[in-house]
Amino acid sequence: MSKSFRREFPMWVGLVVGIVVIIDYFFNIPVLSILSKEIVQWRNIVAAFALALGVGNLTRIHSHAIGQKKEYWFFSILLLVTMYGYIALGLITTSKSVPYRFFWDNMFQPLSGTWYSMTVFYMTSACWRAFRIKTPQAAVMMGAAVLAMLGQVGIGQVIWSQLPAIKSWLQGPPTTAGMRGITIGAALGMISMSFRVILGLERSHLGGVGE
Amino acid sequence: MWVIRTGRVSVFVFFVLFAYLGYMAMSRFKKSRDLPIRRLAGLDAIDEAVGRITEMGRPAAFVFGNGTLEAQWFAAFDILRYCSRETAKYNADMIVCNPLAEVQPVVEEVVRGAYIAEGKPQDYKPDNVRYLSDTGLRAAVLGIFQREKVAANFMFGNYYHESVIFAEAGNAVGAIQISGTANTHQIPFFVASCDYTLLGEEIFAAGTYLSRDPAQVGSLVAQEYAKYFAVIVLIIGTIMSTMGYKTLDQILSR
Repeated sequence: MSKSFRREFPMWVGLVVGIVVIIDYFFNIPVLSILSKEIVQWRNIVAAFALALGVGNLTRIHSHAIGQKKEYWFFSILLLVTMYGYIALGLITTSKSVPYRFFWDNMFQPLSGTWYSMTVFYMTSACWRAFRIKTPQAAVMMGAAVLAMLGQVGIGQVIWSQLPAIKSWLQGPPTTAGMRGITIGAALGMISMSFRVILGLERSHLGGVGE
Repeated sequence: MWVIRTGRVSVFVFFVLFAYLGYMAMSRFKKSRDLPIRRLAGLDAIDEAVGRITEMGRPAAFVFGNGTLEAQWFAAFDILRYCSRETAKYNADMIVCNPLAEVQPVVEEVVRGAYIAEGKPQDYKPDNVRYLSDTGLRAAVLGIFQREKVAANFMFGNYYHESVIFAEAGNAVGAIQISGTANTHQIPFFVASCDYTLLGEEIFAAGTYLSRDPAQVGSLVAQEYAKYFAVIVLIIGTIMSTMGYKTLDQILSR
């Protein structure tokens, strides 16, 4: 397969698929609606197959780590045994079986939940640094944050009954105005980027040495 | 017969107008060398970050967000390509962390292509482009930051709550951090924790800014005109709504 074909073919596929989905978004044409739904489903199928590539990548990297006895190589053994063991368990007993559910419910779910809950510590740490008053802007942010935090908790209302109303206002007009400005800009950026990808002007994702 | 879907007429008109403006601007800037793009400090800082990792002899990390595949990913590929070329140029290492299996071949190809473009295909290390499943991404990235003591951390793409985790972890190992996302709910965390942040639309302009490709500038110019148009519509809409007129609402909801 020539290099130019490897770059050009995905670009043409992207162009055709993109145009079909865009036309279907705006116009009610039964044939294109069916085709568009199929294309969206294909995306899920391709993603499912691509998981095998991910497994292959993990296997290669951790096999190298074990083979070269890199630092913490024994964790690589643990990862490979867990990954392939759990795949085998699912294939042999199905994903609804008791052993499969046991590991999912008692190991994966609590660990996943732990990660989410740990976010609060990282947020506190980020706030600690962000709220240091070094500039006038940081002082405004710090003031707004203190008012918002006090307005959120009961003691704030005890200190001053108007604090919850101030908090609501801060989270309303000023925050929404700023966020919507960024959202509109980002939405236009997304449209622009999609245009470039569909028209083949944006080619980084196709790899190769570029123009 | 082609029947336009209800509620999408005004969007379609805007879409056609946007495409036309893009085409016109593209034709105008095709051969121009004077490209009107303002300076983006976050992207200029990439060179500084690569210089830093080269001096310190420590690797950089490039981490994609954990969100689904959409336009932000394509913007991140542009930046990844540039970062890979720069690290290849200075013989530095960069570990790429990718949570989406379906883009793993693309990510590998982007990094490999950058090394080939720099004339150093032999220096490309496939083991530095790592697929880390979406659920395991957080633990894996934190482990990489700590073990490898990354000196620079590039975070671009469709980020969710993991943004603050990675940014704080990068800060803990003393990495220079450059980030960018269009997800408004994560921008405050990046701004608080990172040295440089690309806000919203800036991430989409990154590819054009870095490549300076005149053909791409057209779409950027169209984007700017569309923004002015949106602001004008917003002002007119606000005045009309305040005065009780619903004409603009009715036109836009068609």
